[in-house]
Amino acid sequence: MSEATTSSSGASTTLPDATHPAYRALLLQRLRAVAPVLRTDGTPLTNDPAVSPLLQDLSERVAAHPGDGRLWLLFVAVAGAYPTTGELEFLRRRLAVTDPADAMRVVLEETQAAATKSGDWDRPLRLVQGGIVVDVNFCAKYVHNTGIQRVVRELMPHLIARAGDANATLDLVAWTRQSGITRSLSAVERQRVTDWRALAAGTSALPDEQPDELVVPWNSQLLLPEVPEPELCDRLAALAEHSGNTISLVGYDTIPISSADLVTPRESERFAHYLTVVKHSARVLAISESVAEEFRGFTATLPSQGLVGPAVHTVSLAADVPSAANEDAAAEPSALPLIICVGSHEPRKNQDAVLFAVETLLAEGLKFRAVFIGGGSRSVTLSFDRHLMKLRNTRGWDIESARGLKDRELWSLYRQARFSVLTSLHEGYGLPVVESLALGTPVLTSNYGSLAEIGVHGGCVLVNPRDDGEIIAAMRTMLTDDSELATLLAQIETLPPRTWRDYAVDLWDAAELEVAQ
Amino acid sequence: MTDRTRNDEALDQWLTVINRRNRRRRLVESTIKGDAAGFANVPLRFVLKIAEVGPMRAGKMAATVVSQRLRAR
Repeated sequence: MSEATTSSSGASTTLPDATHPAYRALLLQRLRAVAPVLRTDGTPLTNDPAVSPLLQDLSERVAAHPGDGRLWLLFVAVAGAYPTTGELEFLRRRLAVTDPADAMRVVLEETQAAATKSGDWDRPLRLVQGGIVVDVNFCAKYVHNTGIQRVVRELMPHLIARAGDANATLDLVAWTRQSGITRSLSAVERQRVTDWRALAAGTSALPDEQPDELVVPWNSQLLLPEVPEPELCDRLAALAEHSGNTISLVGYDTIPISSADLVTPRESERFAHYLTVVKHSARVLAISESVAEEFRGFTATLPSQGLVGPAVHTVSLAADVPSAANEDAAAEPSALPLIICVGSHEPRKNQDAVLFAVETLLAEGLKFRAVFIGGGSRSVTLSFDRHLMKLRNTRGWDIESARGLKDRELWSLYRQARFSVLTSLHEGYGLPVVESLALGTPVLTSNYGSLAEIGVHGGCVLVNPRDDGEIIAAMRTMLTDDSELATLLAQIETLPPRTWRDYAVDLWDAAELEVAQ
Repeated sequence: MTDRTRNDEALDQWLTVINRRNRRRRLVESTIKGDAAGFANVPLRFVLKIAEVGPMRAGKMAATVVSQRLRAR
């Protein structure tokens, strides 16, 4: 029951500390969590349970010295949300012209919008000082598992082990429902990120539940192994620019911008916003040298904005498949030579050129089976699959598509195949190529970019993916020339292994992920 | 000189706005997430979602839910 009193204006109101006690307590907890780093003179906090004296004190101190991320941190503590650059600059400018006695009220006014729209009012805040925070938002929340998600889920167990070797702890975080700030993971979310293989196999035990709290990095390193959702980019960019934390991100490709003709406009727009995070980051850890060149190209444009941009390093992905893949793959050999084309179904992957080559060679009288593997937008796959059905019904050719295969079915097809095909027009890395080689199956792939980077080491035939004639000729040779195939198989035997553990260790070193001791 | 009373009032008003907004958000979420709501309430829940996050994001979230349900089958 709140108690009546009279305000300075004479109107009847309630005692402030008796209203909204839960929110008041959370705000006090957050202010107390950041106070030790904002009160640099070392004066101890009192046990005063009132919020406004502490908030006024912190506001005055930050107004006097807003730099080095101090203003950003105060904003976070008050709003329960990370600020955008616009919100932060507005607050900074207003504080600069405000009497110190009014600093608290200005802070409240300028954080109100973020606090109501994006703030989290359900959890306490924990400051991670001088630590390593890893944003695994998408992999934690969703079970979708292609490309980037596969990389993150293979990487994370080894990165956690590498951190353990250095006596460090990784704080894995996702974003709150309002996309305003990072929080700890639930047990299920943690399992999706760190124990995916066991989860997929149904053999995992649920890890212990973690404290449900906001996790805010301070003088820490933030690693982004995913490409963040568009609604997170403004706040992440401000974090990179204003918080004093260091951001390292895994660079997968710049395809949505540099090959915008091959993706939807929405993807390009989304990626453009992601680049605002990139330009304020410290490091890009590119998954291939080809991708590193793309990001260096972007970085080279930044001096015209007065920015330096991130350092770009190449940390090549692993060329590894689960050990179970080889065990599962003891499949019956196919009666006809099998060609598989693996990759999500989209124009960039060039499946139409591969199908044209398949049709041409079958029409010549060669006998083989072809399977196109990978999901895709129904608007694209529907017409493609109808065409395959027509070819099967009218010509009797053994061509099919397989959408939504499980991993073990995919491994089995890799092992059965005479060779696989990925003649993509633009790739960041080409996981299907390394997976095929890891399972001992030669590959027909593109002769430039990241695919050529992998292919030049052996086991691959390289062609210009824009030249149908080259694709047809190479497929004909790989189907009919057993000695050529034997050469490719011998080359595969000599390829040096590169495990996910190797990738995690190299990534750790390149990102300079060390914690303050 | 800091006016403690004015500060307290400003904070109280500020928390009142937070409280109002969160109460609305929780109402929407409990309706959307409530197991008892049932299939018949899907259109209503979708409309509330649109009101909460806007049509583009609501549509995207709906597509995600549908695709995950289909994949789970």
